[in-house]
Amino acid sequence: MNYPTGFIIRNGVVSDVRPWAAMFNPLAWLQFLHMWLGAFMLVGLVVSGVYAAGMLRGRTDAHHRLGFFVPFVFASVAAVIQPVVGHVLGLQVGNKQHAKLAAFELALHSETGPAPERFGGFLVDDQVRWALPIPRIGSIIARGTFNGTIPGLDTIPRSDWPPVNLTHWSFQLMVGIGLLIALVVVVFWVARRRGHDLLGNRWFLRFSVISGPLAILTLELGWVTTEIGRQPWTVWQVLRTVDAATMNRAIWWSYTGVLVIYLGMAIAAYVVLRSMARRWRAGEEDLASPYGPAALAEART
Amino acid sequence: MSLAAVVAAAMFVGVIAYALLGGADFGSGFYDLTAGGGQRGAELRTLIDESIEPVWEANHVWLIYVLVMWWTGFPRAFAAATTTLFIPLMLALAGIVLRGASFAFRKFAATFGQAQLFGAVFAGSSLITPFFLGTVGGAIASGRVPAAGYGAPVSSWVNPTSLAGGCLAAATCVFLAGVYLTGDATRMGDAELAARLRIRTIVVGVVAGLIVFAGLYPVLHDAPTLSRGLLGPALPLLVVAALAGAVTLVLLYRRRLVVVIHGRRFLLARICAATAVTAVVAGWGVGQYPWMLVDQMRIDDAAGARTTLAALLVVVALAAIIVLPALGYLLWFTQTEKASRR
Repeated sequence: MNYPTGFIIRNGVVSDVRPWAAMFNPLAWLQFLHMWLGAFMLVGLVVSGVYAAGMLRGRTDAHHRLGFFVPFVFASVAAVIQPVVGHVLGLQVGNKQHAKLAAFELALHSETGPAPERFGGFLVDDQVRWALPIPRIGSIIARGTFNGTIPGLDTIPRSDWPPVNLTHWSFQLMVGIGLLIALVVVVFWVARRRGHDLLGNRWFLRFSVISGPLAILTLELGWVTTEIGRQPWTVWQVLRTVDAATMNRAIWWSYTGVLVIYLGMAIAAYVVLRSMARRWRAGEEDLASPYGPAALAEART
Repeated sequence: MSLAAVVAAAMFVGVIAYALLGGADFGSGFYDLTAGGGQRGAELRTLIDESIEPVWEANHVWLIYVLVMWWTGFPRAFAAATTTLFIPLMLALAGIVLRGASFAFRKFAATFGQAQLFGAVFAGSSLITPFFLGTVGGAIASGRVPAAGYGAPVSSWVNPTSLAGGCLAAATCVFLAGVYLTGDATRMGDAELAARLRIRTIVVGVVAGLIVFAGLYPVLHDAPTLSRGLLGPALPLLVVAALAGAVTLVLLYRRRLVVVIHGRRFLLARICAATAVTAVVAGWGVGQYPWMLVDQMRIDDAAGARTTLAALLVVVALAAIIVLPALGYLLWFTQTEKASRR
């Protein structure tokens, strides 16, 4: 959808379909790698965070250390490679989808390099407000050269603008949190090499606990970045989202239904998981089903 | 046979596999629902747990396979069916999601009351899912899905053929599950439980048979194209289904669930029941050939690009090589592991 290939549109009809070319388009491998690494970061950090929480409560035995290390090693490798992959992917996307790049960079006008990098800020009434510009590095970050031009939103018809602020913020938050995680991971391993075990440091453990939820947030921000940044297109410059959407007006009913069902299941999952943890702490390691013969026989006596 | 027809046949193999494997999972909800109170139903519910647990949700790979084949190979028919039948499809989806989750929640619920609540959700949603999928089949088979899509949102699936299809799907699942569970109980040597299940399954089998033939009456009036197919090319399959179903009932009645050939045990009743269900579902497919959406869109007209169809067959071959051995091993393993546990 970001790089539609493998077909030709002739008189408004899709023809000359080459499914393998569509599937393995030039962006496919990089996008796959980016998401793959993101998944390893997410799972690794969530699992190691659980053991970090245990260590914060004083359970610093070999079991908890091993439980922390195994997933954390996977997450570490992924977290260090991810910024490089993300950067290369960003360069590719920037070459192709100028509107997305302009929204990433909050670039209202085309900026012949060296262009600044704007941190934060909002686009309000066609004015960039409250952004922190750092001169020159925008070209290096977004285009990979010292003099790269960043195309501005003014080169793009307004009807083809993505929601600029949402794209800009989700992109920069994703990059920011991702770099923070990479930095902490590097600090941990460098310190370990120098003989400092940060597992004894409460602030590191606290960061480990929240790094799981942060990795989930970052992954979602990444999806918001690429999907919202591609709007108003569902298939880039082929199919607009308004044309792709269903004409059915009952869509809100089904959204509401899905929301209610998943809310109910989330509550149920919370209740069951909490009760399992409570019983485990009380020493019940083998949880018998409450309606099984054993449990009922016990209830009768 | 055109390339499109070959792909459609490959897709329909998935429908049959889902009916056989997923159907047995869904059907177990009925026995769970009717197992009785806490004390009385404990053994049966535990048996259902043990039967479903190892393959929990794995059988939905067939549903995913069918849907992916459908929207990739026959996107026009897929769009027409989903925009018309979104209500029963959403309800079936809700059932699938709820039953999978509440099955897992029930096992680890803290109290008996919570387990009862999750159990009711599990059993209820197990039954509504095949019913609504059956109504979808009935809508397609009776020509109520217009080629352009956005057909009648309610009357497309609330009509004689759809309701017969829904009841038939649910009854088939319950019958299959009954035969499978009776086999499991017999093999585990639980004679009392096997006897209880046996009687219920016989009753369900008779009711399912009645639904099939009673259902034929409205279908003959309501869906002429399908009826011509059912009484024409698909008739041998319907005869096979009736015979296999009858043999299953006889085997159950005479307690001959297992036959021993050369020292190896074969679950004959299970094989007969599976044959009956396969023949019924295949009969539907043959009965509506060459239509993908009866009276509206032929398989060849619904098909996407030729290159995509060829690529799909490559994917089917890859899936057969990669997934089938693992899935077969899983099913085999759960059977032997369960047998050796007691």
